[in-house]
Amino acid sequence: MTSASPTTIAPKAPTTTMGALLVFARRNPTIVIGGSLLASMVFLAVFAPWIVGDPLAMAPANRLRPPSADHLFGTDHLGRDMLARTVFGARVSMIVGVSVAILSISIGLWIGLAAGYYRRVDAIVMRFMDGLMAIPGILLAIALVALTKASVWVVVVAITIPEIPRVVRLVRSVVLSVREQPYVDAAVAGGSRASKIIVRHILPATINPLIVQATYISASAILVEAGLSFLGAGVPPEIPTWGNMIAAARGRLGVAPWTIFFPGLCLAVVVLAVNLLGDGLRDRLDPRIARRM
Amino acid sequence: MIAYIVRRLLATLPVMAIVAVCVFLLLHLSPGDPAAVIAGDNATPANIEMIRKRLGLDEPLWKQFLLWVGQLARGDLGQSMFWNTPVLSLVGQRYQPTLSLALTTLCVAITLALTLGVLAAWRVATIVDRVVMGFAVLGFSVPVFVVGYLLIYVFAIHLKWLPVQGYTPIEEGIVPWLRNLVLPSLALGLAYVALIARITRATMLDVLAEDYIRTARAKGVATHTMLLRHALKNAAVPIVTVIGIGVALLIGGVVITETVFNIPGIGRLVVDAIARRDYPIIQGVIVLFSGIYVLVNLAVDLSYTFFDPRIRY
Repeated sequence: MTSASPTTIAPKAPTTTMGALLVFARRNPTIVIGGSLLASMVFLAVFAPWIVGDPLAMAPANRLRPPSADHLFGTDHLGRDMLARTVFGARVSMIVGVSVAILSISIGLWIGLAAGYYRRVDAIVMRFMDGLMAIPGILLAIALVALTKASVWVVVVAITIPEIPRVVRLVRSVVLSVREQPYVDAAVAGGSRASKIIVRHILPATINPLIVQATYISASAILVEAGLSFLGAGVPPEIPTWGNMIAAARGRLGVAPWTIFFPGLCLAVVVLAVNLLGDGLRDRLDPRIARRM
Repeated sequence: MIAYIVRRLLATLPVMAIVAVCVFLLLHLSPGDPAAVIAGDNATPANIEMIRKRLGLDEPLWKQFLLWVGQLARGDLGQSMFWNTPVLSLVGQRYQPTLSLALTTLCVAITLALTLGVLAAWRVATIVDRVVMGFAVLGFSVPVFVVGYLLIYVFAIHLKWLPVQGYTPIEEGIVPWLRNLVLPSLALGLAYVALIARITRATMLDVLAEDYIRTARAKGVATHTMLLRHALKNAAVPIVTVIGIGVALLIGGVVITETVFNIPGIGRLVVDAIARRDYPIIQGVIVLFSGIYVLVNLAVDLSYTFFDPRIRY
């Protein structure tokens, strides 16, 4: 949205670092809000063992206690501390979000570059991508997880596969628009090898849209992972995740709503933070798409 | 037109073939051994071998693929291992709740999304616009099951306005049927509303800047006529396209929504199959839902000519 108002008069150049930060925050509120929410969640996830207690320690005498000073988020049906479980649950979400984004982009990028640059590759690859796009991603992930022994990496791969076509289409569309640019013609005329043209002259144009896409892929991966865990097709059940915590608590919504409320809230806040960050980055880095949305 | 529809229907066959190849390759090249997983942790090698034979997994890959495609071409989605009945007949027993949920969600979501999107575009850069866009970001971020439990907690457990869970067949009356579908449709539709509201706002903004809208306003056309008849109808093509693409959200969400609200539909069938490792069911439903997605998007393509008569086939 920021880029939509180029006519606003630029404020006086800030003189201090603090001032520069404030100006950046005023111009890009979503980046700052989303970014700081996300940073604090990552901090909690990384330092979880030093911040909260053991997420697996059971205390049957203390089962289903509502939030109190001892247990800020209450306890679950086995007397486990919900705060510890919720904070540890952030770990799986973060790992899945980041890994799926990196993996799907590093695979999709090369397929997209090849499809955009070589017409013959394009025809075949894009038909396959169309087919892959028609397959419901969460069902495919369910099937892949159900066929293999559950582990975090199986879940990551299962979520990555349906995301690849989205990356391929994005990269391909950028390549198609860039390859008609005069500077690419110049490189061709200059006798550069195709691989050099792609890497030196075309690849850089895909980076900004890919950064934006990476945030959206992370957001959707975190949601799908939570959904898979909720359905019992996710990571092994002994690892606390927001999805399997909610699944375990679902019969007790009336008696112990906090066992669903806190993991649900964290899930929503993290995905919201990633989406806000993505929207902010899109407005800043990719004005072509920003204008359309 | 009819010749065109037939031509387009035939053109979906290659897409479906590619879907079949993708599903088959992904499921059969995955490193796990389905026979071992299905047999469970305490299975003997002989047990695993038996399951492998029964699933035809001992045959070479190309033969398995041809057999499977041959079945698909005859409309056979495979045989459930647990129920020992064809997947298609299991789906047939359970399609009504899923179809009901899908239809009510479509109605609720499209009505809501168009209203919000048109309002946001009409009152662009005001508080209305901000609230709608904020709601859209939220709608993308809150997962189906969290919304579902929140709705159950507020409207069913606390206010006791609506039933907590379950499904009532439509034969037992429209009102009980609808009462059971209100909360699931809202939960399932939220992300879909966000998606459609966003594209509606964006396209309406483009259309509202056109000269013919100014002309309509200048000659005194009522605001609602201007918004709906002049603007929305001309914004329809991108909106309908996104409605079609967004059906993927519904297909994925249906599995989770049916679990949250305990609706005995096709989604539940899949979820129950996960625990029983009944993978022919999962595989069959994937192909079925992919086919529905392709057909829905074909219907969307065909609807362009209705919304924009300049598009002719």
